[in-house]
Amino acid sequence: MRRIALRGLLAHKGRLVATFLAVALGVAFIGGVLTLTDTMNRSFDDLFADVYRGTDAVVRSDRTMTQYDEKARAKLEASTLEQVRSVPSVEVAEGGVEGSARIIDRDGEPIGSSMFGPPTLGGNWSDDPDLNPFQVREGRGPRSAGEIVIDAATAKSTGFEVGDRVKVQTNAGVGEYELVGIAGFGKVDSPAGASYAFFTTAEAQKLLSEPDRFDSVSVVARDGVSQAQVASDIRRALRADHVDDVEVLTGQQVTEESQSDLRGELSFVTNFFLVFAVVAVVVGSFVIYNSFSIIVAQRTREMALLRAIGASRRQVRRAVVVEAVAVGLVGSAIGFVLGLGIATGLKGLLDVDAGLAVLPTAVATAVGCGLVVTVLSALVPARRASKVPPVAAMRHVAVDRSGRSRVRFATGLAVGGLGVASVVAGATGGELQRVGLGLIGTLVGLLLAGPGVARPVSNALGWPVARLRGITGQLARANAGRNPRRSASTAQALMIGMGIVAFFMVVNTSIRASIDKTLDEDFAGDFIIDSGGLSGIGLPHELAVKLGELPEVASATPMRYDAAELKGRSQNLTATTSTAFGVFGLDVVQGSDALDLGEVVVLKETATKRHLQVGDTVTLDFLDSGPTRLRVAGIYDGPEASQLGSFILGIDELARHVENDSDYQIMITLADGTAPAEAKPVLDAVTKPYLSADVQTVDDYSKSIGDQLDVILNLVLGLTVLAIVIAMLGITNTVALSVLERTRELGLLRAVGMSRSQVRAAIRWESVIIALLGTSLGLAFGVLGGWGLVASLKDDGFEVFRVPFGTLTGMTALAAGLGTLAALLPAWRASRLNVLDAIEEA
Amino acid sequence: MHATTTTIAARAVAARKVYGHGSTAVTALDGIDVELPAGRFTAVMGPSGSGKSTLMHCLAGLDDLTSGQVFVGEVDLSRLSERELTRLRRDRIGFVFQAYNLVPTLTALENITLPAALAGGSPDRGWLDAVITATGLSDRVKHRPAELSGGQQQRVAVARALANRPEIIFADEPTGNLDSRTGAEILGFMRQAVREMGQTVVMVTHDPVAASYADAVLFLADGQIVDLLFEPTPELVLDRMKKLGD
Repeated sequence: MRRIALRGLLAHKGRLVATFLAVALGVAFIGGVLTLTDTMNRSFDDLFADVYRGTDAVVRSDRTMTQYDEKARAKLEASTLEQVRSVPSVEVAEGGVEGSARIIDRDGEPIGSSMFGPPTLGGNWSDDPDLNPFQVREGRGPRSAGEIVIDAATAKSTGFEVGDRVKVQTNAGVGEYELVGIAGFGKVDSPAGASYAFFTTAEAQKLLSEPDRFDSVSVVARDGVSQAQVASDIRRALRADHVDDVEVLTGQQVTEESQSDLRGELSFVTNFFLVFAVVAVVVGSFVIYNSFSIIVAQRTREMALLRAIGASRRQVRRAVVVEAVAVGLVGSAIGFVLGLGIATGLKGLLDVDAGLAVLPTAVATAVGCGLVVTVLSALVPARRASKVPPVAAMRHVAVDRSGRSRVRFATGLAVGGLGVASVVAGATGGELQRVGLGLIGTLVGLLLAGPGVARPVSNALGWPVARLRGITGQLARANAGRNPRRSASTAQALMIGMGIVAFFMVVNTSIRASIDKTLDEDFAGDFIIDSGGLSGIGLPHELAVKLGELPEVASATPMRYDAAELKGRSQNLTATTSTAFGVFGLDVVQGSDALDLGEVVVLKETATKRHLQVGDTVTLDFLDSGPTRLRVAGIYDGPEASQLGSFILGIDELARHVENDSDYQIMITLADGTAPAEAKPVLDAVTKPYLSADVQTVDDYSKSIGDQLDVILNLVLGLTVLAIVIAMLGITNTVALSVLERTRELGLLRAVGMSRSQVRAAIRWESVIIALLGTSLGLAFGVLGGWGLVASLKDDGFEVFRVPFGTLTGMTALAAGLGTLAALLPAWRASRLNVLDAIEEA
Repeated sequence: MHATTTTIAARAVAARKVYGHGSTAVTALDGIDVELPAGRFTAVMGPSGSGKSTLMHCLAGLDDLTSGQVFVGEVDLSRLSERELTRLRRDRIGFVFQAYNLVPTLTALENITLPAALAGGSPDRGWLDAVITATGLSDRVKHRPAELSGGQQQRVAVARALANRPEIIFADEPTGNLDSRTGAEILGFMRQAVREMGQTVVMVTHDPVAASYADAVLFLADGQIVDLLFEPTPELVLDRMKKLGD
């Protein structure tokens, strides 16, 4: 039986091309993502090992706090460095300072301004070769406050040379320095493309931290002393000196921690990509299922013959499974190799230095997925093959499946109906989970009821085609609905990809519309001064003061965001001035809005939840300054979307607890009678020296947020493209195999006078109708899902639900075009059929 | 052949058709000259391998000759492009095959008007009604082939062949899959089409009873015309066929 199966496979291998491709592409995606991740992990592992190669121990504060999803650590006192140095087993100990620093290029632009680029860092220079992974290539290290060293990669890209004067921007402002050295990181010019500016320790403390503070102390042990030994010695010494709140890690531990932290961050991105890879594989499974279904249907006679001469049902079923295994193995193998190629290409694009890390786990996962999916998808067709009655070898017997399909259809309608109801309930009730479950139910319902739905919908979609294209269109429409089960599963593959795209488009459009509405209705500001990206460097506070003094400006409201712990849980804080309430359309419903020192204003919802009233005291624990008692001076409320969080402080109060004296944004309201056009040049002039300041109108701001959202949307689209390509392959496959089945009919049509171009047109239109079937179902599903999500989050700021009708129409047109493309090859081959051979096909 | 003034619907001149080449070459038609008169029912018979089907395919524009010429009316088929041949089949020739005559997704009426629809138009209404009535399909026109019996399907095929008023109708074993009573019905329709509607029908068959419905029977053997019989009866036909066998 195995031989029969494999021979059969080889005989009609042409029919399995699409199946191979579907498997290969899905496996390539998974394998590529996994391999790229493994490669990047290995590259970063090596990087961290290099960084900490000579370090035997690291001393740092053990107090951390999560601030806006990032972990921040408290700093060490300078005295700790002296205490560590006095430990006998310590050979060298140096304090480390680090922070954000942007080097200004020759055109006056700070480098590294993009959202997704590598970090721009600054730190203090150490001449100790064990502790400093950077080595000077030209010049020397900085010795005085006015000197700096930069990394070789930045030197190359900016063209700076030793002896030049270089400006560097930090949170302390912009300073000018003499470039005394250029440093490389081992063999590379800079680690992972990050830029570095190195100052003397004192200067670094001034710019990036605080005088007499370090972020960490790094230690080299005396010869012969192990890492564990020197670490425990330091721990004992510090405890003896009553230094609390510090932890001592060995060099090994620090390395491993950095490596695993990075792995964690990378895995977040990887999982995002893998989700789409899985979608592609799922779509591929539809194609595989369809393919095998059709092939089994076409070989009914052969199967019947085998059964007639004595093969058991199990043997016939197994023969099909063997074919599936063969296809799965070969397809997965080819796919994985393809995936390696993709990973290599992406590696080059992202400028990752290491060689490709092909791990057995990646191979096993990717190939295993491909194989398992192929076999699973072929199981139902295999079972169907085994059900062919032997008598079918003698005459044409139609297997009556109408009873079972009615049950399936009814179940599908029921499940789908429940699903939609659940979505509606969840949407109106604000329960996101119910919406999610409802969507799953709807999807399952659609998949089950597909065949029942396929014919009426494709007839409806094909109606204009039949009317406008005469007999050609009529035949196309009839053929599209001829085998509803086949059309349904082909269309459903496309439905998934289109549904995802539609969903994200609806959500994107709705978010942007909601933001615009908030800015329109609640926001009273005229300009927003932004600090330009996530570089970690803000606008010095003096800018807000200067802007506030301009005659054209009614108020310049600085905004800062930080965090503190309340009862052990991190709370996001906003620090601003009292003009903020007016600017954001908020009301202080009780108490005062003055935001004086020692005061905090609380959001009404939070106050109710925590039983806080005006006059109560609340203790917030700040990372650097510790627990602080603040008086609740006021309670505020306002439209959901423009709220400023649970706790609002005055700028001066926050400045007492955080040494970073810069604003994230400044909101400008213009004086009465001043037109924005008048004010802009004035604002531009004042902000010009503050290089990262970006003066935006409300429209500009809305657009820039939109642009950032679009980046995500485009990423999603790019990742979904593969799933759509596979689905299109499925359409080509279905059309091609259907044409094969209808050879005799095509011969007849050609004999009575259908021209070749009419044959091609009929097949193309059939394909278009199927593509539109899948797209329309997908769009409906995507819009439903988008509505469910947006409506259920209405109280969290998603005020507007908007459908991008133009884009969706464009998608439909694109689908029609793709349907035409998918049919080109089968249509051409069909038109080339020899009429006589076709008529006389046995 | 009759020396009368009847027009010729189709003819072959020195028609040769050879399949394959060299030592494996098979000569299906060996230089045939034949004239098929208009307004007549002609049967073409012969043992398998005689070339009867090949002759019909070539006359109908479904296959091309190795050498020689074939004419439908005054049109030399060898001069036509593939598209022109298709159009010829569509507008000027009618077909009835042994089986698989109908498009399963179209109704009987749509099948009947298929050639006209392919041309972007529809057949003359009066003529269409006459054909449908003549073939007794008036109450079956909205049905799909799956809902029709074998005999009814063949009647639809005949109606289709007639509906576009072709110059000549080719029938390839039209009663091969039918029982004798239904077959007789179909043959009767075809004779009616010739006698009352002035059509020309050329039928390939191996059945002496079917051949007896024709006005004349052409006998082929080894790619050549070997005999011609007018006013055939089943017994006469059988007799001639036996002679062929010797």
